[in-house]
Amino acid sequence: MRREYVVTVESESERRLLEKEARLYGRYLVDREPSQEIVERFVEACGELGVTATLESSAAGSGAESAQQGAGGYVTATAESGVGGLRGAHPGSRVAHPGSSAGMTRFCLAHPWSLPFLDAGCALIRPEAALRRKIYIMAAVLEASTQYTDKFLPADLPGPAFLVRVAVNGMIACVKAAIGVPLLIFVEGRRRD
Amino acid sequence: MTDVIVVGSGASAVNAAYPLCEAGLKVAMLDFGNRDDKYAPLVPSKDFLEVRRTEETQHRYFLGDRFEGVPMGDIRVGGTLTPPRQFVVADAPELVPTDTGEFAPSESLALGGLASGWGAGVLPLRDEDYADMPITPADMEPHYKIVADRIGMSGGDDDLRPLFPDYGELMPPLDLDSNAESVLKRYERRRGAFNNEGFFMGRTPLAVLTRGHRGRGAHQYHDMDYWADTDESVYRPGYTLKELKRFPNFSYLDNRLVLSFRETGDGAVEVTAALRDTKEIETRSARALVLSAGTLGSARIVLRSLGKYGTRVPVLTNMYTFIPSINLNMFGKAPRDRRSSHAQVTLLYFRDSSGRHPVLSNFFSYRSLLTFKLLRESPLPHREGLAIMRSLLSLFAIVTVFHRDVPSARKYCVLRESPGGGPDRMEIGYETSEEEWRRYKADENAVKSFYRRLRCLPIKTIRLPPGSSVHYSGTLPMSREKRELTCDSEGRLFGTRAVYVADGSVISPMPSTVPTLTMMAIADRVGALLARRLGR
Repeated sequence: MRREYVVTVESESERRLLEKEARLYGRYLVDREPSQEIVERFVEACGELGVTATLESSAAGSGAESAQQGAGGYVTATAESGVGGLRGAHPGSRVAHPGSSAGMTRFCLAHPWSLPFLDAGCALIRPEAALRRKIYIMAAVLEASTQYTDKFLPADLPGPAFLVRVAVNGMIACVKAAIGVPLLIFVEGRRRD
Repeated sequence: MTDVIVVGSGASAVNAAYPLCEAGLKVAMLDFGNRDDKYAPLVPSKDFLEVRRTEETQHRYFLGDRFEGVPMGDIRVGGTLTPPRQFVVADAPELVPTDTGEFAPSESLALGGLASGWGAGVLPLRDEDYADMPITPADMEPHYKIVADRIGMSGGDDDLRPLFPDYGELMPPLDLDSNAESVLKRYERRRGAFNNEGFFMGRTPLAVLTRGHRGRGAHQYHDMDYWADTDESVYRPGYTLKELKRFPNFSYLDNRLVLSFRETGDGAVEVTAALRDTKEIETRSARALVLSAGTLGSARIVLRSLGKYGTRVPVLTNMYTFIPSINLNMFGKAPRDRRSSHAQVTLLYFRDSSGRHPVLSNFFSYRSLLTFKLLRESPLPHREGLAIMRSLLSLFAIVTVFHRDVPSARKYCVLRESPGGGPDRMEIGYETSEEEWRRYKADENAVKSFYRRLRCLPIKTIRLPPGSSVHYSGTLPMSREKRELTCDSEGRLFGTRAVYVADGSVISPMPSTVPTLTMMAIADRVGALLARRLGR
């Protein structure tokens, strides 16, 4: 199995930034601060999977990322995959460049209240944004740990409770998206300015 | 001198070697032989929920040491290729490279080949599938039965069984999970009407043991089947290889990548292989050669050996669609924890009254491939997405559809010499005609409509690129005509004295019913006939 991702977690400042993000995403997903072990695993995963803070920062303004970036703002991933089933990167598949949502992470760190809204906004109009990818990676890391596993196992509810849960969460998602999309446009515009 | 060299160690190779060894012939199996020594020892023999709640090292095999189990791509291939299974395709992109457009090929250099990650579905060819082949159902029946005993199979005595010729003894089927059980019950209530419309449903026949067999144990319902083979109940070619190693006349030579063959004047076949570590070239001779390197692998060896660079050979694959669905029958019900990860029930749909060439659809429940992967599919914020997914998981099902494939001029592979001196590259071209697309869509719509009537609502239709099914065939088809790059009814390659092909390469057209069992039965037949020919 071969992975050739272009980025790794290189500097101490980058690592510290990712650690802060890990705590933010952990609280967002499971309502409590993740353990240091989980935080470190998240940082390692971001490095391996090419979703790092440095790339985002550089993409925000310096343009230094271009050396790592293919035409059209894409990085080529070469994760190999095969036997039929749900998903996995296809050889040569193009993965949206994490820098495409540069600055959003820093906004979230500065204004933690904005994370649920930006996540909802990205889900609709920027599904490949680095922010979404990092929350997804954190979900993977949390799920594969004994401390948080129950937060990811099936929640079997009696009929009415099931309906209420789905309906309430659906409505919350809609409200968040309604706020999140304009907020996302604002954050992106602010970055350009 | 070695009597027979067998190339590969996959499902076909071990079944071709078996009758040769039983006949007392001296057999050498040449194989690259990748295996997983990293993750397999970490996975305990425990139930999925127990693993999740107690195993501190679970992140290593669930996510992978390099997080290779966290899919970031946008094409849904390889979900069942979890980190502990990824050895199955390791090294292939570098050592046996392909140039493809949309086609997504998977090749294996692993011990056990692609079947080391196989979903274990076993159905034989139906009578009409032999129409273009120089063999008959009667030729194949004894070999299906031998293979059925060798690998161990389970399945139901239900609506599916009469649709196929007798292919051997089946152990009682695996217990259904609650999700599949509710769907099957609903089908059974309206069976007559469904049958009249061409829908037949039953337990999925699987190469999975439900009782002890040949030293292997019965299935333990740990729901860890995508991650490990701790109970050895699911057939893997490595088990037959273990049996072969008990024959004094059998030798397994791994760390070799077979490149080519040449028939010599003295009646021998000379086989050239590159050694893994030193890259040195090694040559071995035998009275006969059996190629079971996989449909693409065997084609590559043949084309290179015959100097047929630039010559097109056909390639076939089951087009593959999956349909995430919500099973309303499970609404408000708590599912049983005792379950397996395998296909639970199988649907055959006959689109017209001729009763030929059905479409095959399998029904899976979703749990052990982990919840986070579903979050990427959802247009919801992660927090609410997670809450909704958790609520829906017990109702969630994946319906897969496999389509039959027939050769055409627009489905081919060609071997190209690498200009830089690297490994030859296989170029694959694959285009589906408009008519085929129309038929695929019509069949999928019929399948979706069937499931809706069972109160199982499709929520999305995901058509995967060609090749994603990891079922390939037809590169060196068995043919009644004697022509170049085809095989005769015994698997012998046209124009050769003693070179045989015994894998999916010889099967054409490609049935929808998953060719693995047939590949094994054909391999057993090629081996048995060759043993007779070589006269021991």
